[in-house]
Amino acid sequence: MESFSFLIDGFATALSPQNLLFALVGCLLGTILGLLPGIGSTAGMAILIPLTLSMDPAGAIIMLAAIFYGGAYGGTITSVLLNIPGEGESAITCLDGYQMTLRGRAGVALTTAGVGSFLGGTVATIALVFAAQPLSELGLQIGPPEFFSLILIGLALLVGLVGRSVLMGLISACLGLLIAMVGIDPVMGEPRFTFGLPHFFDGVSYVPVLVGLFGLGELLATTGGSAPRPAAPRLRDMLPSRVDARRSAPAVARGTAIGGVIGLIPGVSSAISSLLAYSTERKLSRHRSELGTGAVEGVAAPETANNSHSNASFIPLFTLGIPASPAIAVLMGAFLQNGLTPGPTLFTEEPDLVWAVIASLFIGNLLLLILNVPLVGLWTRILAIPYSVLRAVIFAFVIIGSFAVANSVADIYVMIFFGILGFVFRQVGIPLAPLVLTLILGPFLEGALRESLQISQGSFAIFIDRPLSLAFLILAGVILLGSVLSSSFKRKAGLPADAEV
Amino acid sequence: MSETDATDSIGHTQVSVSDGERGHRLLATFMACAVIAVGVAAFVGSRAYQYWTALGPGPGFFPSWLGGLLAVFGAVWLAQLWRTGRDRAGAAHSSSGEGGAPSAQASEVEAAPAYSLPTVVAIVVSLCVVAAVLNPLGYQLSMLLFLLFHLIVLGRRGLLLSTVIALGGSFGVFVVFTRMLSVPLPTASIPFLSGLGL
Repeated sequence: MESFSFLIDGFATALSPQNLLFALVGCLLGTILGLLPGIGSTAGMAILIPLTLSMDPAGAIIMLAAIFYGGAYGGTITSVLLNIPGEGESAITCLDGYQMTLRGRAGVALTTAGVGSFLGGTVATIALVFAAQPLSELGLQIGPPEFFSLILIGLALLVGLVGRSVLMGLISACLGLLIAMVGIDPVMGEPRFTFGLPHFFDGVSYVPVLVGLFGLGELLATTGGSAPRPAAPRLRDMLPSRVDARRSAPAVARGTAIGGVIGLIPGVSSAISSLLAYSTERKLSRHRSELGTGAVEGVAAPETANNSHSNASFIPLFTLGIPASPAIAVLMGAFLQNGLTPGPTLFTEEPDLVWAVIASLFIGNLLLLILNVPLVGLWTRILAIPYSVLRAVIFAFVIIGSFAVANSVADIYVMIFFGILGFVFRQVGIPLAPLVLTLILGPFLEGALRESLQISQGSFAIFIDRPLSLAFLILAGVILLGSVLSSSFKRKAGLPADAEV
Repeated sequence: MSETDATDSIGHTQVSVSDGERGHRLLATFMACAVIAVGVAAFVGSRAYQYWTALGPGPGFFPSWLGGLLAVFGAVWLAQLWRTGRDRAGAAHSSSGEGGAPSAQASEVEAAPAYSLPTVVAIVVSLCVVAAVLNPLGYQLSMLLFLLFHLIVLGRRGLLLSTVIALGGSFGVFVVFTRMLSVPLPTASIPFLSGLGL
């Protein structure tokens, strides 16, 4: 009951004209960035962080969260109309979504995706409302050894499930952790790996790294592409028939459940939820034989699941301080940029902010539904703008984004370096997701390890003496081992190389 | 050049599949070596910091383990690349010995990259230049020149359209960020230019 009174207060904050405008602008900008080939919600949020630098923390987080799910919807549009997944999570939507477009049913596919996303996102957010407070209280009981082991589970899942090679995931994770080591050592207070440059005493700033890896890296990797021009469906073609609605309903329900449950697991990307939802339809749907040929279930299930997943993934962020995906990691970076540390203490230290953000998730999902379905004609016109023009404009934001964090040109060079790194990683198949997560979580991981060893006076037995920590460690080991053994299976299954990029 | 060559919007020839495969393998080998080098450097560099203190692990503890692990992972990757290259060479040799086409395995290479190397280089160089001139020339002038270069030279857009977009992206964005969003952007440090309000 207490949660509901907090939520009502949160709605009061989120529905203020200013925050409503931020959510609206975030939804629109997110959709536009999600439309651009290769630029997903992760890159979108990273590029647009500078827009939020002067805002109050609640407004900034509300806008970035709106960019996050707006980007996912933009990715769906390109999947359905162009057969180009803007996001890893929308890749599976291409199968039936594009077939529907070829049959003149693009409007129905987009409306189904929009409604499914809204329903999945709303149900997951309701689950967040119910689970947040009790889980955060549970999170407060977790000590440094358990926290360390829990992060390892997240990393094991991420390294094991994202990308086709566990080895590449491990390399990416280690690099992210090493970058996170740069700066003043939190315990001894001495500079570490700063190369004598005062600029790095506060560590390598997240924003230029994220803008470089996801923004510039992706722009460089797509320099040879020319965007195709889609045809916009007419408004009257957007309405699904009664048969479509009847067929979609069970797929939406299953997608909501799958995304909601999988989204709770730290480290598992929403692409996995989409894939699971689609394969569930292949087994359970009454029209499973039509999947792959333009069946509406093939759009409804994965799109619902990925939005349900995205909203559910706020639960581990808010209750345990663990980002479930790179996009959420960027959002966590924005929290940290604003002096806020996501985790169980956030509910006691910043209840107004956290409940305003939760309320804004409901509002944002509704805004996307109201705006995006009728505006699909506008989005397709944006896709028709020459890519070179869009790219030049994005570069302006990429430069501002890197500079504005610390008003330093050095950060532009950092962004360029990580842009080249992101470009090379894409070419050689190193996933970016583990690097981003360990970059953000690195200080917490090291802090938890060192605190644990201080408690145990240097004995590593603390990690196996405490039952919960031991269980987490065994689980992490099993996941990693299982991933290594199933790597050949994953290659055959053709999982996306980096599901979040 | 092979049949998979393509020309992008600015006339640069993209990398062909066979060239791409060779380049990809070379890049992967270079990256594996770089990973080993970074790992070794981190391991060696971490020795400058205390490994263990009276309070427990010191600042050198975590990086030394990470550096060591990274070097090992890099070495495993390098070994994998070497083994894959040897297997492919063996497969190609046996298929050519039979007088057939290159084996299916050999042709199972990464898809042709969707990038144009000259454009990538041009973008990176232009970004470095804009970073270098941002403080002396200020945001407005440096971004104007940067956008004009990208639109006219790389994007091959018309002069009028390019000028309008470049003015919007430089002077327009400057006004929006500094006046409306209160995000400061650099002004020119050269007195003559700063006197002009740039």
